[in-house]
Amino acid sequence: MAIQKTQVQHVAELAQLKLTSSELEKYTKQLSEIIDYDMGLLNKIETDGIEPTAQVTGLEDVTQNDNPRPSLDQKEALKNVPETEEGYFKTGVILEQ
Amino acid sequence: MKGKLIELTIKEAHKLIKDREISAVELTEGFLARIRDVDAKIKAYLTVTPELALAQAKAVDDFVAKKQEIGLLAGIPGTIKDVLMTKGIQTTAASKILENFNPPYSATTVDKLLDQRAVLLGKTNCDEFAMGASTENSAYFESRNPWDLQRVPGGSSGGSAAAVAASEAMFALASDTGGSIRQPASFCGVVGLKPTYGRVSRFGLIAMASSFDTVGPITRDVKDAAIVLQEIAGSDANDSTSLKKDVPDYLKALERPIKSLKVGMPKEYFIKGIDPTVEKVVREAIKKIEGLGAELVEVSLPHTQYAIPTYYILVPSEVSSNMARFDRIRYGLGRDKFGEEVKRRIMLGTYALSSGYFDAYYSKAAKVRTLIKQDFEEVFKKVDILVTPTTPSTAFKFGENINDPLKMYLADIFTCPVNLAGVPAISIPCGFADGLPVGLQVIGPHFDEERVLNVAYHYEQSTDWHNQKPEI
Repeated sequence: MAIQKTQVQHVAELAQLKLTSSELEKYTKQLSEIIDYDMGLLNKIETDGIEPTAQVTGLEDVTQNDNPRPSLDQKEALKNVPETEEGYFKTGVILEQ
Repeated sequence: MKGKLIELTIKEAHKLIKDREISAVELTEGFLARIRDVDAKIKAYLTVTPELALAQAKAVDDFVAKKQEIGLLAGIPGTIKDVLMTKGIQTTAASKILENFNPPYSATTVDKLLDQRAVLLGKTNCDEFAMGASTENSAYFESRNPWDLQRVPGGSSGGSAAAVAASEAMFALASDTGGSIRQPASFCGVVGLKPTYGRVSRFGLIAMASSFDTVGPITRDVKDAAIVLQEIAGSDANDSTSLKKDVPDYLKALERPIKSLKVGMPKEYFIKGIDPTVEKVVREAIKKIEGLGAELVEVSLPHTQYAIPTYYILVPSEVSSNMARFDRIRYGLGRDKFGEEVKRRIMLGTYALSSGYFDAYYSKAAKVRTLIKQDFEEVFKKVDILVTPTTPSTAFKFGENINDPLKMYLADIFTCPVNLAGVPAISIPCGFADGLPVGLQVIGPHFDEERVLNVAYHYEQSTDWHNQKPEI
């Protein structure tokens, strides 16, 4: 079940990664190999009726009292931000007019 | 004495500082000089913080001079893997995307060490975002194995393990997602402890795979690992996955008798493909544990062979989600700065989670994870502890595996099942194969770090492997 170049290109776009044509070539081959290896083994096991594990401790609904406490100040919070405007994060336009 | 200062263990150095036989400043200067002397060869450190370290050490000396009580870590020089945030000190995760990142707060574990007045020597190298098994994926440089500079120190915490092995730090704080503490500890001949998932706060650890990541120590001996764990363990309001469970006295647990303890040897960890010299050394170590009065039992963890494929579906899935935060809005540079392995895992994960494939890949692997976890739960009904090799081979040469991701992934074959199940494990030195260190892995049930440390300690005390030092 080889993965196609178009699929890798699509995945790269979903993940906002720009690939060169040689990277696309290489990753297509490697992703196919890894997925084939992984699923080739995993598909040998019967898992009907087995619950999936997303986390191992079984903790559920951890809550805490809603007590106000100091947070990062604005200057600290923004000190690693590439672009700010009037104390806000500056993002790209997501809705065109 | 002075020349040997950097070879002291935490426990030994603590006594000398407390009794004012040495000063914390002297000790710190010793390590800074050592870093100046050997780090050009080892390349363990991404950042060294000499002014800060000396100021911290001086504060400890002032404290002692006033006859105030100090904790075991006060004045003890350590290093932090560069995936743990340190307020005001550049933290890169060995990635170019965080080249200019200056964290506005520290990881909880780092704060705990600083509260204990530990001395921070700097930040150590690793694979980019902790993804790798050799430090060859660091965006900056490769760290080298102090036992053989032509070989990798392991990874991802290779810089941290190399620093401890080369006496460039008395301890390191690192992270383990699939073996990143234990495998480099094994390759470098030092002790590496991966606690139970949820035992230690992950707050401020730059996330790789959130349901696998753990924070733990790399040290010279087992007692030192217990000392560091004691200080970093416990629940944290900032990490809702950390458990509200009492933290036991780990130092006290070391001395417990191990006579008639049931020690399991999982047959799936002694298979074809393991280096025969490594296997021989590990089997001798296990015989030694039997000689200490433990009862050896052959056991089975039947789903072991599925651990790597399960891990390399689930971890990339979590990676792809965690790496989405690098959007060049809040911090970091553009996504074009990600290195090759990071991009590979993001795409693998995005693919496994994408519409039409989620059930076949992610859900399937998550179900197999349940079976792997149950293997451990079942086996711990029969035995108290498991012993295995940490890795199937000793440290490999640079370039040997880097162009074959699958081959590199197999370096985690004996360590990643532990992260899938969330149980605690330690790697301790148990001998040499062709001049390179071999690690013995001791695995315990959930939240039984006491037993893990206990068995490791008894073995260590009956051998001299942990006292061997590389010639640099």
